[in-house]
Amino acid sequence: MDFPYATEVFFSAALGIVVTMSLALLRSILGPSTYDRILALNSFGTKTVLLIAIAGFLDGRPEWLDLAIVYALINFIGTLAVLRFSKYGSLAAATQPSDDEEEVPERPSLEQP
Amino acid sequence: MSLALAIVGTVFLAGGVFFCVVGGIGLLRLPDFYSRCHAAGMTDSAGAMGILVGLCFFAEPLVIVKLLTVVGFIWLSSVVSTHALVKAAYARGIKLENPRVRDWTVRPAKTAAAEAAGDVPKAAKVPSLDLAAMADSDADAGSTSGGEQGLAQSHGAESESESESESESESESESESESESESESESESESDDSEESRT
Amino acid sequence: MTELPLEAVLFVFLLVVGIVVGRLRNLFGAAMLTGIFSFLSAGLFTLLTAVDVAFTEAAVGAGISTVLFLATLALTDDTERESERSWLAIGVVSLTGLALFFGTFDMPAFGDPDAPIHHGVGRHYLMHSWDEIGLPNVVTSVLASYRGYDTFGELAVVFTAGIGVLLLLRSKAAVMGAKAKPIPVRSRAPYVREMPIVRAVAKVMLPFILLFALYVQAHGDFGPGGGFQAGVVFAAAFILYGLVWGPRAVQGIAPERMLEGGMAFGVLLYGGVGVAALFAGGTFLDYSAFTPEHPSHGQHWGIFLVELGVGITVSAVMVVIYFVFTARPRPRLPKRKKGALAPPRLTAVPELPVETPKEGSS
Repeated sequence: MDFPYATEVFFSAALGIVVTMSLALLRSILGPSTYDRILALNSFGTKTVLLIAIAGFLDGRPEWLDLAIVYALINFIGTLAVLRFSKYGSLAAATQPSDDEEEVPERPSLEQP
Repeated sequence: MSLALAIVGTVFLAGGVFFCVVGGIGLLRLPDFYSRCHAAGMTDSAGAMGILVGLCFFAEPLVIVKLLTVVGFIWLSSVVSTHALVKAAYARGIKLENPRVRDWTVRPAKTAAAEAAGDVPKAAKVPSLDLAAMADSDADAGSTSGGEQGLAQSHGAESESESESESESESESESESESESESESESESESDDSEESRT
Repeated sequence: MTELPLEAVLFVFLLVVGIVVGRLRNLFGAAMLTGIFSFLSAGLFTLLTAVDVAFTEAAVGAGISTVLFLATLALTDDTERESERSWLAIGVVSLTGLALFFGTFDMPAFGDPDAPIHHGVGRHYLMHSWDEIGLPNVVTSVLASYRGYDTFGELAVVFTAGIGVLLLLRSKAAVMGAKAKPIPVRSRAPYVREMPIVRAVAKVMLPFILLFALYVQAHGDFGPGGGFQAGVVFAAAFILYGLVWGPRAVQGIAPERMLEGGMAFGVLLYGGVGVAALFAGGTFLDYSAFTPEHPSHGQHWGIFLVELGVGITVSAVMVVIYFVFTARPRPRLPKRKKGALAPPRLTAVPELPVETPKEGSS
């Protein structure tokens, strides 16, 4: 590396990311709702991508970026699962009949009086 | 030359880290879930781009391609996951905290009352009433309180149809717009039937 | 050196997340925190330059484990029940923890060149793998060739896990092979209509995920990656398809019979390569026997086939587990008292009016 301070630059960038990670971690611990936790998880995922990318440069092994690509590609699958789960309580079907009458309110009737 | 590149890269990295940290602070400090989503989104887009593009200035050509790929995929996937997340949260009735912001998908009580009186075709009425019943509406609370009443009324005074269309365009939340769901009701129920019969 | 403080910070994060997961009663939130735990582990592995392990953690943690956690929660309850505090259990756990902590004092310091790990076979692998096997990624050489027996055993474990899930959890209502024909487009409507943005982006991402899985599979000889990671990423693509278009759409592409065949085929391929080496005059899983005049060529072929077997089995098992979990109908839960402090179930949303009655108008 021609630039004499490259390691220091990468290291401080990694440090900044770790600081952000700690903030996201705090949010995930504080909650209050589960969705805040999911949001923190998402944000944490992006931070991990960045940390891995920078770690590759810190060690002079930029081919580690493959890992970052994995995260960038499939990280949102979990969130989609959350969406589906929180909409239907199941990952399976949009029209899955629920057998738990007490907890599932009636579907609103659209019929005209 | 290479030194200049490195300096540019450092500037990008610094900007990216800045956005990341600011986004993190926002994630921690902002009052409600939706504004936290905004903060997190900024981290994902601006912060990630800054850092990864900054790294490009230190890298070889193939690695640059990989870095830009990561940027592209993060932009696609994190935006979509935030979208999905907000939809899920809204469907669960996670509330806005800021009293000045009105949830446009929830109809103020006045409009609903006007509808009940028969000003608006009833077919259009039902789904949005469901929404109001579902999510505890801040707007309803706001319209009864003093400061918000003016706002709510002024919007209520505008034609119903406008607030209607706005509420639809604001968020394509749970249910589709009324007209669409009406036109699709036939095919949809058919497909439901077929699905049930199959299982 | 420079990254040691980073590692220390990440370890502290790990500890914090672990404690919080243990104390959280809401299992949905706990599942999310487990995801953070996985991210942290992947970051740590990367900083410690264990990139192949980090890759596995990344693939499993990002794509699969959250989905499987949620699928499990969908079958059970998302709130942990209060259980009585057992002092005996706490005592046993603390004693074990103390003993383990005491044991760490005997371990060599981090990066110690005199550590036993650097004097056994590891030294041989590092020094001679280039001559004997000729792959740039030593991890792949060790995994697939030197330690081929172990990897074969691990693959058998994955296979057994898939079989076990099939035997235990597959319900009669979800016999999938019978309905393997693709579902017509019309009945996909509820899925397709519902999330246009998600659908569009998933369409864009899917080919890239599959392509990248193949890249990981093929590139494992040269960089981080290999059969296991590729299999998981490949399965993640199917799971994404299932999440957006519904599990039955996936069954149209990958019927269960095919997946079950794939599970077995991967293991058979791995074992078959070993047996073929026997026939070629070598020992079990000694790929050099294929091309005696040029041993490293045989190694290349052997490793390629073996990794392919791993990839096929892993991806098939992952998709099968996803299927079985999602296709199982939710059991009837004991009714909760009204006003109990448990959070509302996540189903309690009157979502899309899917069952729109036919109206006379329009």
